[in-house]
Amino acid sequence: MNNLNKYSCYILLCLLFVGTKGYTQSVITGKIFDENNRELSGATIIISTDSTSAILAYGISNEKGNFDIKLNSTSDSLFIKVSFIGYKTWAKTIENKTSQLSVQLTPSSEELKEVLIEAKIIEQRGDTLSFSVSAFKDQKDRVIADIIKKLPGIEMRPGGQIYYNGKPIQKYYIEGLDLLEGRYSLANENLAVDDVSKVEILENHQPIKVLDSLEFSERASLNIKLKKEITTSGTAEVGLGLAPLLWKAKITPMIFTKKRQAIVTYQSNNTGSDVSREIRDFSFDLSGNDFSIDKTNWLSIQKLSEPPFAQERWLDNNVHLGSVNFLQRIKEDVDLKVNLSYLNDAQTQQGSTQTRFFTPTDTINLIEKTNNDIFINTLQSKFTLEKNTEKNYLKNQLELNAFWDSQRGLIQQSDVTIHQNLNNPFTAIRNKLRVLKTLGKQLITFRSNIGYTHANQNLLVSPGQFEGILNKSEPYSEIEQILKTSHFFTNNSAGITKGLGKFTISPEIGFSIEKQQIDSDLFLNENNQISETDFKNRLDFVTSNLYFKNAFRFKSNDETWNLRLSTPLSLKSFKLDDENILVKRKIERLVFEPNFYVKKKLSAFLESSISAGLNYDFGEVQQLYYGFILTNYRNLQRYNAPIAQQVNQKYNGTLSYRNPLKRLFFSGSYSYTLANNNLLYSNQISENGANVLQAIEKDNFSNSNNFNLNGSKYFSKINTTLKLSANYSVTKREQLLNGNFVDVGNKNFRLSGSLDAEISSWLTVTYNGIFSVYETAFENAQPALPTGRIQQIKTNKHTVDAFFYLADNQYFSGGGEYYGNSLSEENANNYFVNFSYQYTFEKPKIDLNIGWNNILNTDEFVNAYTNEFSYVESRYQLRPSQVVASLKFSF
Amino acid sequence: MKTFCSILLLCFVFNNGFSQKLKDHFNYKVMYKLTYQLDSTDVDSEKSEYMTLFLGDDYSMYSSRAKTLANQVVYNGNTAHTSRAALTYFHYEIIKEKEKETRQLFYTLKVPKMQDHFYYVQDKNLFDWKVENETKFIKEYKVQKATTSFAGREYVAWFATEIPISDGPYKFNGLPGLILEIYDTEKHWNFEFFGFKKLSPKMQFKLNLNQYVETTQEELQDLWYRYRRDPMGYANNPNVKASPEVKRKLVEAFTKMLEKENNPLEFE
Repeated sequence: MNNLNKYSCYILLCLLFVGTKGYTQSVITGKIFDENNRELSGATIIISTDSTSAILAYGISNEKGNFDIKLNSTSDSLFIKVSFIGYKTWAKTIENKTSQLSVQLTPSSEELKEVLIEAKIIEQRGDTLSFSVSAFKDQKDRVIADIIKKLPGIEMRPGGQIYYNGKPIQKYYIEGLDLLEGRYSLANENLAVDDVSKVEILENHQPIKVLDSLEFSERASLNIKLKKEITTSGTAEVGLGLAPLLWKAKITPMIFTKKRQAIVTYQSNNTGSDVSREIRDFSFDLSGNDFSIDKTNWLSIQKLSEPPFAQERWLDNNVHLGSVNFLQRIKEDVDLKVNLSYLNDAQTQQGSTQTRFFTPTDTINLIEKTNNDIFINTLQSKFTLEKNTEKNYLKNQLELNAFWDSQRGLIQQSDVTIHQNLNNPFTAIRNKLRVLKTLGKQLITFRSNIGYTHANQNLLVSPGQFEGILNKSEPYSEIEQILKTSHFFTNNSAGITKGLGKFTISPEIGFSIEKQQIDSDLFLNENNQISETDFKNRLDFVTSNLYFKNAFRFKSNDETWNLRLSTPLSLKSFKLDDENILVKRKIERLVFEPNFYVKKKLSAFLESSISAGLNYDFGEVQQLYYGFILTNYRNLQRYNAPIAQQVNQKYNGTLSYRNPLKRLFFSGSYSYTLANNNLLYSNQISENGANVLQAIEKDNFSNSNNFNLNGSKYFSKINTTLKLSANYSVTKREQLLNGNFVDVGNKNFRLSGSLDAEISSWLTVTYNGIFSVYETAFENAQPALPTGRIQQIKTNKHTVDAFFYLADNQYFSGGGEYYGNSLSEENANNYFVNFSYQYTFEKPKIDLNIGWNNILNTDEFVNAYTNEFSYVESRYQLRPSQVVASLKFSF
Repeated sequence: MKTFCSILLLCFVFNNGFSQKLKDHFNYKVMYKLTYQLDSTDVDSEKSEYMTLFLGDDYSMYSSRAKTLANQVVYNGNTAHTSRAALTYFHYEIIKEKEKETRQLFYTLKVPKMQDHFYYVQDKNLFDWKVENETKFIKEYKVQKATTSFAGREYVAWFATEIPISDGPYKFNGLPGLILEIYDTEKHWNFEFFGFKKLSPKMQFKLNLNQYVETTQEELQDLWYRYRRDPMGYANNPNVKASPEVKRKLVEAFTKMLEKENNPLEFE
């Protein structure tokens, strides 16, 4: 069969009947050579009756230069033509009879006729993927997010962040305007589907026009096309529930015109729902040398650890959120944006904590019943001016944030009640400027960030703590910690990116200056300031950094090699002054922090990668103050030591196997980190659990080994994916506990598995389980003390969820959860059951959702965890069993 | 740990043996405009895309032009390449061997945005051509008509004997001249000639089939359907977690979309 096939391959046959007369069959065979008598394969041989008539038969010379053509023709003579690209066509008239030919072709300088393509059409590049909303819409869809999450390649994370092909999207445009910057959830979850005509995915989108043909972008952006030129839209939701009386309300009106866009929202609830979700900022800055203006809490009341599941089941809140977002196109390519939001929340926490401190000599037990009130008052604003033309780019962003937060806490220990009162306001201002300019043939990026934060926080605790240190072991009525901090920073840099074939280099040069101040004082019994300098700070910390960074990347054509090397070099200087202590600390260091990564595709199924890196960490101001600060009622902290210097080395190797045909995946990785630190931190724990933290100067090492295994397999017959993963890590470090050096070793083993089954078109079931063992071992350096104590904790978490699609317009879901740990003496096992049901009315279009949470009315959640020197069992009082019914509609 | 490292190192060093590497330089580029109708019941579903055929001494490669645009290799020398890689419906590349003993055709497919490469091999002699007398002109080329049937459709092809290369778009080949135009009798799949150009300098072509998973046409079709029906599920990214409700909607939407694609080129 194969032979026959091959035979017919070599000889292409064509039969043509000409006229009605009888015919003769002849076979023309031959061999074709080039000018050097080499066999020519792939030449075409065409036979016709004369030079102008139609083709009678044809053939193509094989790899030996041979051809073999059978033909039936009545003609007396045959016209035979042999052609090959780059050679003169050979032609001859022969007699119509079986014959053998030998043809030698001679090269020709004559080029083949070219037809040049209309450049315009061809150079036009299809860059947008456009989805008509009507094609994807079904009756359940209310807001645009419902459509977007159905688009191919799009994925919406639980927080609302949108990913396209595994990468976060870059921009979320509405009619080409970027109103919300990173806070696009607000539009995404409130813009009514019926107002939108199309969703466009701009693949490989470069939002900065100057860079358009210079810098390749791997990220995509979204553009929402509206149906009308002027659109007013929005959604509203109201809900009521029991018990106690629960409410939730939300209204989000919006308006879009060609030059002006605005979205306003007001939301309020006491159901524990997170309203800040919709104003979360997903924008990212790739430069990575930004200073944070996030709120820093230096002081705190004693909090409870939050349960690891949806906050609707535990957060006791009363929240109001208002947000205004406005965009005005000032002139072509210049936009001004204002984003303002105000959040007011009153939360309460109830529960208890049992803490056991282990020191090499003793075990200290502490039981606290906690009752906390937390008040949040936040105003955040952002003003953005953006000029985006083909010649240059400028973006200036000014942020002003203010927090007026306060907290009240009540702690009952066995024999004493402790009141805590905290005011922790915080203000921040930051300006970010980014300019792209061409200089000669190079495009240079300038960045300049400048900012200032300020906090004036105070914590009042009564009765007073730390009598031994602070009040000659006499009890006293109250203690107050006052702390003022300020932080000024600026960072300025210039950089270029250059591609050279498969290589890319991107050098950058810049400098940054930071100045931080801490003023702290401790007062006993109202205005009785402790004058000892040990309890004061007048700290002034100045750091500067002059850097030259260079990144080098290489990608081979067939993507088998992928290489990255960055070689940042920086000159850092740190200067610390405190007028009370008369110590000056100064460091000046030139540091080189290389980082290397290489990935190689070994075969169709296997891939491996190796990375290695070295970096330096220097002390932050949070770990540099000399005088004690009462950070919470039982933690008195200072770092009476030189500036911390830590050298970190990291290594990683990964090997992965991926068989997409069998749908079987495996990967294994190993990583090792080694840190060398010049400081050792010491915890001194007293009888009542109060902890005094100090740092002492002593060279020490810590290391960790981490092993990871992952596997997954899809079983197509039962539509089920099984995933398993295992992780094992060992870390070792030195610690100073109540004056003794100890080696603390942690071992952590974690096994998790999941099953995803589409049992039928109306039922899907998922299961997730995690089992982990955490073990801490102490080894004493001093043999006189008891050694080898081991603390172990096992935790279990299992969840099962089932979704029933009863009909097109209704679904029902139910789920059960189990949490357990081996440490708690009572209530070590926690069970939860929840139900949810949704019905969609067609006219008017309204969603009715009924959710019943915590059906078993589990009243508290017990969470236990350990660290180097303590284990903590925390009980958090949960929201009671409750039912909430809500209506949601668009307008 | 040491063992692990040495295994990794070994993997890096020794894996270049026993490879099947295809190498050539392409001399000519042919452009086609492909107009296709994926839903045979809906004339409005007609779409079009530019396709390219590169011709070399030993191999030819056919693919969507968008793919060659996105592939920087093709734009060698142009480092400031475009930021707008084009999009395509056709993710495969078809590589045909010239007159070698084996005369194979490689259908290769890379799953978009993933590292998965597949291929299957076919004998390239798939067509029983019938050359007809009719001739016409396409641009400046005189072309002659030929007909064949392939994978459930009847085709009309127009080939130019003055370009003596026995090749054409998609899998089509075997005529004594380049196929400039080919369409099925219902005109659901219509390849029109759009240009012929000599490449200067020649374009380098390299393909390491070792990096590709060998499979069969049927298996690859199944896999491609599976990918298109649930791209996220296919990617199997552990970080991706869609709620079952969302996932169901997704798969439903894709299945519906795929149901409308009832009219593939290879019908049988």
